[in-house]
Amino acid sequence: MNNTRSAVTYKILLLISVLVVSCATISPFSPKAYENATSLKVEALAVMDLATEPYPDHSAEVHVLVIKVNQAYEYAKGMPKNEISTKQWEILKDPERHLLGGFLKKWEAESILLQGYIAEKKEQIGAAFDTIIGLESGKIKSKDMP
Amino acid sequence: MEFKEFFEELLNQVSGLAKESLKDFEEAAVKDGISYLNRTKAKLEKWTRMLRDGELKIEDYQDLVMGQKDLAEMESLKEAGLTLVRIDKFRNALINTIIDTAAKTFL
Repeated sequence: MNNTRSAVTYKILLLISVLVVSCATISPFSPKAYENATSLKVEALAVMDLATEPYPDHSAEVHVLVIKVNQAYEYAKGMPKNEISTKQWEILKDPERHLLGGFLKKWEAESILLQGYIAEKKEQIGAAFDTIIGLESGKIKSKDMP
Repeated sequence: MEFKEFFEELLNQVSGLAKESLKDFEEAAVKDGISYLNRTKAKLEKWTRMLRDGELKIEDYQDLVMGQKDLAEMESLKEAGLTLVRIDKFRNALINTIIDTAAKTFL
């Protein structure tokens, strides 16, 4: 009788555990999201180097970059409980703000940008990508889930 | 062992677990904040010099300063996200503790 009661208690505790785990507050680590952020960081900084030359000469590269960034954003947005990473991508790509989206808009508007400005902006935008990468890499890996 | 004793044992373990999982968080957040302010101060000094020397236009300078504000927002989001990760890790450790303690007690 006592053994039966213990087994039932144990099963109830297991069930509670499963329910609690299913209520995670943030999405787990995604290798695809991590890959998106690291590869786009490299690609974005390479495209920014071209901004000492007229924008029309490189509008095709910018167009490809913008599409890839939007794809990464949509991927992040589609993951459950991933609002924080999604918001990071929104800030990074927004043409009305002052990171990658703003840089590309400014380049298009001014056609050529100063080397010193580009160098400083690359550091800033690289650091912005690092915040996305840092959050993703800090998330719980599937192997560490109970 | 009755459930009451089991639960008391669990509470003891949870207390230790919380200290272990979250102990460095507050200290790290303060350290990050100070480090961020110092980095921003150095940037502002550099950009001001570049503006004076004609390496930046005033619009570039303004954009960099505004960009630093956007970057700060992204940093804050990262820290907020990592805090949630810590909470999930704590919760996962708690689940393992419940299962282990229950297994030792009842099986």
